[in-house]
Amino acid sequence: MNDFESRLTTALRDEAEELSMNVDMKDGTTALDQRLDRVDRSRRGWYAVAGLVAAAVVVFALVLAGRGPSHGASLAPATTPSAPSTSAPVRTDTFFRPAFSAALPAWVEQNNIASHESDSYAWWSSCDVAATCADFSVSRFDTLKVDGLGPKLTYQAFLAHLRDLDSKGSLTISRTTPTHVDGHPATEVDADSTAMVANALGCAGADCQDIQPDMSMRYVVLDMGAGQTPIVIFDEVAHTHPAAKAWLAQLDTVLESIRFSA
Amino acid sequence: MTGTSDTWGQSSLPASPRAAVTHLFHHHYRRLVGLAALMVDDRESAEEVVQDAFEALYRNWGRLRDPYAAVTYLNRSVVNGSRSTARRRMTERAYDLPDAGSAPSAETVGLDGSQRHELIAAVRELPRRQREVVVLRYFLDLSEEQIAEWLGVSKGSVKRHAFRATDALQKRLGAWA
Repeated sequence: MNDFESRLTTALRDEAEELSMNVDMKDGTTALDQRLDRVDRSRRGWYAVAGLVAAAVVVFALVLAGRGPSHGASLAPATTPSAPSTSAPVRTDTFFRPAFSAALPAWVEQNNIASHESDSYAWWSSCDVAATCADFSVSRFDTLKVDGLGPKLTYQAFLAHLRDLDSKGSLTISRTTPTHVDGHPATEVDADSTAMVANALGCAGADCQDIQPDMSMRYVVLDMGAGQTPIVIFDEVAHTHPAAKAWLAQLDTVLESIRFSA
Repeated sequence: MTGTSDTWGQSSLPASPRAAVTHLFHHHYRRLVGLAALMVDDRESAEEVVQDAFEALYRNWGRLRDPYAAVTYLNRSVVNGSRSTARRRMTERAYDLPDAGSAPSAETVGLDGSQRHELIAAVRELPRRQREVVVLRYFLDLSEEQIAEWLGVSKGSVKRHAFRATDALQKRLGAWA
């Protein structure tokens, strides 16, 4: 390490130490307590719902069992536990333009630590202990230029951009399907990536998104009408994620429920 | 700043998840805010990122394969959260923060307060990727290979970003650099 690098190291560490010394531990502890209380309340709520569902299942089973003999048929034992809920109550996002409401995956409500919401970008990330992450996003891309000054994107231009990324090897598209979302014509694109491509996916102003390496993605590109930039709803998950397919499939519920304001 | 791996010995592991998270908070909150503050633009955001990390740790406590890896989980979460704040998304590896004692003192390297502030201001004005490389390289002391893995870029790309960043900083700061 040369002289300048030593100075840089020292400056960064001194700066971090100075910043951290000004932290108010009392306020921080209070804030943490409130957060942990909220987590506890949320858990109690889920346990209550689960308890009610379990009770309803038991009652239903008892009713069926009571009717069973009269029908002369035996009931198969319920050996398959019900699948965990994958949808949360409908959430309305008022940061994004246009505002939207959707039944987002349940984990968004349960673990939305990395969420970010702005007028052009709403996304949530979930990482497991090994930091294997998956993301869900609603984005509006205005341009493909990093400086934010490129021509305004259209629905067709964005789809052409995805095809172009495929032809260059930045993405490998495996499926393209026409569909409709909230009444808007849309195209669903499944793709995989192998390498990081900085700023390649699209930009909202000068804020661009990368293509991340070793991910499986499902992009749903919405045609929002003449003169409107496309909205891209997408889900992406690391190839190594143990529930990669299920992760991508959860987008279906979102697509069925999402409603944009006029 | 303090070291990370030995401040929470196994003998002092609190019994309940909440007590354990609170215990960790008191040991590591300031240090993690310092790290986050280098990657985001203000201390308020840095504190939010670190609070998020502790909340996530509490939510995921039952999923930790090894509760003693919680500090690693926090470090990872803070780096992830800091980069998320800058609207970046990626997968990261864990890394324990270096002990500040391993860094040369300001006196040793001949850096006065105004020079330090000028240097930090220049770092904050670097393009985002260069700034990330600088923090990972010179604050966390990661190798080029490790940075490449954390950022999901090639080692050559890390070299380029590091070179451009230090070159820009030295030019910007002129004579004393």
